[in-house]
Amino acid sequence: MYFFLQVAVSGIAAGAIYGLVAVGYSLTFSTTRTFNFALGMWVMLGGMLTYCLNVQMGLHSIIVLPAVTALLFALGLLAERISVYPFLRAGNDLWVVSTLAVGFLLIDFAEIIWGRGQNSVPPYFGDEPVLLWSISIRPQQLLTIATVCGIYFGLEYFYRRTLSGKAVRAVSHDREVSSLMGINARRIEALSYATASALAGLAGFLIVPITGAEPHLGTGIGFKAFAVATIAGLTAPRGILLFGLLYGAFEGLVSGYFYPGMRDIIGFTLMIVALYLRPQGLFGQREEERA
Amino acid sequence: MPLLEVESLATGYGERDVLFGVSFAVETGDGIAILGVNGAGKTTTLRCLAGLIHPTHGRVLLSGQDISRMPAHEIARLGVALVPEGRQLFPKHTVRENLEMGAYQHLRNRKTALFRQSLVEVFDIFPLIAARLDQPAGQLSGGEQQMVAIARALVSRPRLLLLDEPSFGLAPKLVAEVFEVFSRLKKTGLSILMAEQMTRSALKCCEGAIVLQRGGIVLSGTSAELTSDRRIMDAYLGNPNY
Amino acid sequence: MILHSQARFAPLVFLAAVLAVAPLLLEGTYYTHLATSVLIYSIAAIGLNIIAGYAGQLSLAQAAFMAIGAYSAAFASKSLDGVPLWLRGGLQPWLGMGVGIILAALAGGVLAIPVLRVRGPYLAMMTLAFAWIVWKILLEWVSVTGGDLGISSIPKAQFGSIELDERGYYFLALALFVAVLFFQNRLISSQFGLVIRAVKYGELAVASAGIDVRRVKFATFVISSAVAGLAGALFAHQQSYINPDSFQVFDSVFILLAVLLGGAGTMLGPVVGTTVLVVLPEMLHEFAKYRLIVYGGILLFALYFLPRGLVGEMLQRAIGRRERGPGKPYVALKSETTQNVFEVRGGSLYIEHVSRSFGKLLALNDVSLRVERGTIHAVIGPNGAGKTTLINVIAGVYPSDGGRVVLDGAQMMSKSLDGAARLGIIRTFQNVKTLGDLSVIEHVLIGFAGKEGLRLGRSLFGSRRRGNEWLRQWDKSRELLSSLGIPHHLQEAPANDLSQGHRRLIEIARAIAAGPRVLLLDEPAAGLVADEVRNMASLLRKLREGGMTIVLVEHNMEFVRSVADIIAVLDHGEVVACGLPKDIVTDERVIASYLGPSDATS
Repeated sequence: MYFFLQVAVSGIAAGAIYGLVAVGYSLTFSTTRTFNFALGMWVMLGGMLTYCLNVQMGLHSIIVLPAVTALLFALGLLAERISVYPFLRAGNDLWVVSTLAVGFLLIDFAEIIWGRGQNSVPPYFGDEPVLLWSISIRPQQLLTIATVCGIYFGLEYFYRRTLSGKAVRAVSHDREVSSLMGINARRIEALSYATASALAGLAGFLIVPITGAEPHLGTGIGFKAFAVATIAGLTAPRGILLFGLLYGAFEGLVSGYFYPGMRDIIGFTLMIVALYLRPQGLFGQREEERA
Repeated sequence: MPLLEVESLATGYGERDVLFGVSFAVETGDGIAILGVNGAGKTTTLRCLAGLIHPTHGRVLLSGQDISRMPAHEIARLGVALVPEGRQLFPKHTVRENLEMGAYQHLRNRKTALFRQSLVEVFDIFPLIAARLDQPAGQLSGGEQQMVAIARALVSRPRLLLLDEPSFGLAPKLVAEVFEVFSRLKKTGLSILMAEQMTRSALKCCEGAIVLQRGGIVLSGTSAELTSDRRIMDAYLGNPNY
Repeated sequence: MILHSQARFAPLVFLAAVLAVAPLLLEGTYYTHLATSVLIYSIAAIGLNIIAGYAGQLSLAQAAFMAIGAYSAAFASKSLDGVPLWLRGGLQPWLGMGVGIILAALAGGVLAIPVLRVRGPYLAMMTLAFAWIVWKILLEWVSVTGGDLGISSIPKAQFGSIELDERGYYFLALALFVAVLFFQNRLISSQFGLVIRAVKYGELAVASAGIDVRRVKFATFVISSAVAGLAGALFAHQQSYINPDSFQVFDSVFILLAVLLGGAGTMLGPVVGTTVLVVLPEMLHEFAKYRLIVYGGILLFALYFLPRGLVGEMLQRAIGRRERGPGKPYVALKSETTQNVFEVRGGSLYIEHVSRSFGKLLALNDVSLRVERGTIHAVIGPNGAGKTTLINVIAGVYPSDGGRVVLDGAQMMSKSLDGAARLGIIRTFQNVKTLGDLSVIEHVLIGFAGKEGLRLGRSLFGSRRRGNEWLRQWDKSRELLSSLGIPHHLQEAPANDLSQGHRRLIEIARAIAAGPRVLLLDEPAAGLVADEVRNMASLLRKLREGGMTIVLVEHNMEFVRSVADIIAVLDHGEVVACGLPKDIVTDERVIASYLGPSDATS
């Protein structure tokens, strides 16, 4: 029982990261029906920048966090303008390929600047495991889970209580009608993309003390986060966060009780099955057929 | 100067034009009806005026300012509100939130007092809405939704109200009430342009009308002239001699 | 068999010549090995081009299918180790290739089932997930695949009892490459190929002609993966050692990139793209570190400035139009007798108590109509009356809740658009959509494809007799188009170039080609100018004289009055009036539907 909980809780911490990145997919998908196909690489970028600022430049993590998030937000705006908007306007699907291209570019930049090896980043609050009801959990994992919970409530508040949040929901539902109310839908689209990138950066910041920072860390995360997002429903950000935690726990258990290599295989197979059976996701709604 | 001037407007979708050289004007405080069968270009005209599509030829002037190529959200901020065909409320937003979206341009500038004032005015016109404020808009009946849609346009405090088939889905009695409301609003200086199929009701409410057929104006005049004009029916049902 | 004009053969011959001669000129095995790699990846790219370029489904799993082909070929070939040399000579490497192709095709079929249920980015993600799964399995299933270490000592290919060296293998690969190139050519130029291309641009239009689109996509997907399997098998025998590193997700993206860069949907595009992408990094091998930047940069550049790819852009400029599918048939067959295209026997259509709701909205309420054969019924009514819903129910787009539709005495049980079309209910659409860059006559050929039934085998391996069938359809299409008033010189032009009036005629031509018993026309006069409207009216009258049954929805009353035998008026989902045109026009209820009630309440 103890082992079960231990493994599950570790998994939940990983799942929190998936959820965080998965929300990024949802944010852009709701407003534009597109997403950053290579979001995982942005997580890596966030992680590498964290390494750079925190370890190489010695800045305190309190400064690094907002810096990384802000940097990735800005870069996200730029990337959207270059690699998504032109294809959106043309009305084709090529943004799939262009966002992938940007992702590969990022990997290469990372390799060139920081080399191919693993770079370790010391945990922000020390490495002494904390004992929570006799389950040992590292502070970093605790931080991750806490952050994601915070984001959950933040999203809740944003969408339900703020004018901008309501405007974003309006744009998600009907871009045209929203613009009739004076809502600048274009700006919201761009900001959604940038926010998704910022969240990915945040995920990178949270994850590198655990996994180390290396250029290929993002690929697996990116795919898994997408699996989480599609199974939960690309239009349900809070459902995604919840499901992310569950998925992480599930992964941990499979790893712990079965063969570790089976993790990804089961996960992705589940995703294919889920997309087949219920394309709109567990928490999502069926989209009406657009004529 | 008229509030709205449309000069030789041509527009359409993709490569094909649907409107060809339409010209008319709306004076401040007047109501003009756009009549004609489906496919004649009524909706296209309104969408073009609201900025959802751009003209291929001609131009649109709002109080003398050329708004032909402005994006929709900027035109909305100039005081033009369109109630689209079929209402198009945000179904998961509550009625109140729908109205908040309608008043977005004011609320984002913190004019909450103005918004409250608009709400009061709107409740006066549509008392039924007040009771439904916190219900998700998708749960309302067709008639109620239409009222909310019109209210949503009104809370933006427009100068020009564009309506695409406001009678759609409304029981006849309600249609009469709603058109009565429009007449009242005109007295406060609001100008109205409505596309309608309920010709008689529209003519009663408006000062003048234009009749579209296949993208061009075939008939126009004051309501008095048109009400007794046999040719309107011909425009709808076709007349071999026409 | 379609014969192509000399002009289109020339580049192929030139290419073949260059390729054949190349290794003789190049020194050493390095370049030969490189050239072989180009050929192998070109084969995979051609396979991907069929599904992604022509059918428009962006699949990111091509390297995974290559992997399946490679590993199974490796097993098959290694299993021949104990077999005597003389026997082995005949089997090696053909057994491996055969096994590779079959297993890859099977895998493609299995993946196609879920994948073809979704579109666009979802499809891309699913195929990507599949690619990832395959790679992971290759890594983890150590007992079978050797895991990280892969499979080594794959025997070299043999021709008879001679073991092929680098150069010999090059020629083997070249032969197979040319075969695949011709296969692509043959496939795309055939009737099946036409349907594949049409599906990319408009699935609904294709389905409305009676073609099961899902099956077409499925077959295309399997073909594409089988070709990848062949490439994989070739790869295995070239390398003699394979491991999962060569079949990562990135490699699938690489192949897609090759297709896009060269020109998706062109015959030679994938070859050009692959050549550039394989040769370029080799030439800059001191910049190996920047490999991904180069690829990423090329990709972005290509997407912006060369959206049609290198070959696509070249064709666009040089020839002044985009590359199309079948060339002009060299030899036109004489058709038996000039059949009057308007001699079509229509059926009777009885709509009995049909209702349909969408959630709380009752769109159709107990609608009944009797349409006798050889008559034209018009359905009119104000906006939102339910006219399009009625058409959709008749055409099988969605079922009715209660009530039934009876065609020639038999109840229609069809649940799909293409099913209804195969029974003889052919519909046109309100917004005429031309299919990409397909020519006028190709649009009509789609109609015939639906009617005659689509056979992949016949398309690919058609005998002389079958080939004539295809030519006959060309003739019939021309005749049909001419009868409808589309002049000969416009028939091979892209349908996009024609006016709205002509486009509507093309759609009707396609509908007629599909062999209708009832024609359902959704606003056939919309967007037409006066002359075109009159033309359309006289066309419908001619069809009726020939016996066709027509149901149409319209707003243009002049048009309706000049063609309709019976007019039914729909308002709020109910039939308000039904009868002869002269009665309908003066009916008070009808007038009220349009103008609103005339009493004092308004």
